Amino acid sequence: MNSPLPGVQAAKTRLLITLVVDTSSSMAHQDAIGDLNRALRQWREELQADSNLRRIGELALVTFGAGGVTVVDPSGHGREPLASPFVPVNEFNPPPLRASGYSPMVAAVQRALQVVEQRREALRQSGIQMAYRPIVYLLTDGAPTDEAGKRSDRWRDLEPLLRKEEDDHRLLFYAFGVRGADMNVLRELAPKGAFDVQGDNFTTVLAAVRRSIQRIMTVGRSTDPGTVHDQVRSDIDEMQQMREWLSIQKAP
Amino acid sequence: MTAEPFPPGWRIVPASVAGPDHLATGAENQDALAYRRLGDGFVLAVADGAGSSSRASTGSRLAVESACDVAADLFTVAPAGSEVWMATAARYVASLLRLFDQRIDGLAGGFAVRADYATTITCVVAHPPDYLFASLGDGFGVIVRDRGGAHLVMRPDDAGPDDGAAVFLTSAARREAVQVCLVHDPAVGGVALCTDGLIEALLAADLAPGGGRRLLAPAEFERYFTAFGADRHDAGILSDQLQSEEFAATSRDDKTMLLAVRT
Repeated sequence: MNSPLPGVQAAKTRLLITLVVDTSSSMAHQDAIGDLNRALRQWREELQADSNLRRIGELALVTFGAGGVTVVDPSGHGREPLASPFVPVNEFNPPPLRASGYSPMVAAVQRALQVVEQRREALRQSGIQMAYRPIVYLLTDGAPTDEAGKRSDRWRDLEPLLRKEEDDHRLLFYAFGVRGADMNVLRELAPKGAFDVQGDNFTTVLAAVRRSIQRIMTVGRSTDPGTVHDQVRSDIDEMQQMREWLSIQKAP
Repeated sequence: MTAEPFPPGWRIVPASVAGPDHLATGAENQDALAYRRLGDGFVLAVADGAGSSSRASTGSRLAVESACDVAADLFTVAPAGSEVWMATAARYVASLLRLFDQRIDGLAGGFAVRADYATTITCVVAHPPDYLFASLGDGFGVIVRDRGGAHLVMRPDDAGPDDGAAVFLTSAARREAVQVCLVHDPAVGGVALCTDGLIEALLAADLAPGGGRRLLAPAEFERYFTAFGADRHDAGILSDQLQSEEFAATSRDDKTMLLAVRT
């Protein structure tokens, strides 16, 4: 029977989520890129099952590897030019990513900050506000290089910029280091938001990303970033402990 | 909740449900509502206990009870004219804050910490055709006019989601933050009070002239009044709707709506 009461209004807020993903040649080792592609497909289904996130979430995907930094069409349609790097969660369907080239990580994070800012401004002009701080996740298995493959220290310039964005409650930044990542650099870029997940597959890493999104959706924008990071770390540690406990139970 | 009959020609429809997060953890609903007849008028009140406060549900309950008790003292008879209304409104707010403090201070053997009881409050004292709204925090109030649609007359204290620190009944700056608004309108056909858990589901937004968003009551809001007024639907469908998956997707917060509708 149809309800005599009206349905809900259109969403008035947004949560912007940006993945900055390493697709350099090292990601071809032991088919890490294949693992990532499979994990992204599963992650997509999990995100789309979350009705709250489906309503307000938008996703962007920035890669760094062959060809330098690429803002990928996250809908998988290969739109060019890409009018908006963000798509609603229910349209997120990333294309298979390929691994080759170097690791211009810093340029990729800078590009991510630009697309977030552009989207934030477009939403603001439409009268739509951010329910929560935009979140940027860096997933890498290496160390930052320039576009020619030379090890780069440019991340030292990026670090204060990230801190200012976080301190101004304009952004939350997390860095997940997998399979040989330079954790020293990641801990500098994200002192409280760096996670050493070298032994984990990408399904586990993206599960941690998803858990952090769920946490961030429970805290207001006025909460200081250090508190948010502590809560996220606590949640992810709890996930890790649960996984270890389950693996012990399964062991013969 | 007070179950006294309403003045003839009015119907009360209350609904308050725990949000998805509280349901998942078995925590109680931290919203509260209350209402009472005041001779030919009535008072409605809703409150949203702050999730970060340990005794928020007690705080919200004491807030709505205080709002009704003070109204019963001051508004049994309708004030004569807008000046008397506003003078009485100032006394109402002061008395409400005082009574709430007294009730908190009487808890825990006199050792209660007020901040543990942080809550918002939104209430309306009605002696039709006059409706006095008072609110602290992000609750909101809507009226519907005969052939005039729904109007958001008491706005949430809404800096939007880019909010700073919220002001509660337990905050130092509460007195200055209380919003008061008097509506004189013989065409009012209903009043609705809601907690902030329903902002996203029920209110629309457009672009304010100076930038930023401006919340408003959409045309569809009127259907809440027609459903329970002219169409006499069972009050239970309101709770069912607030608990629906569609509404849960709009906010993890508790949700409360209190309607008074002309029948």
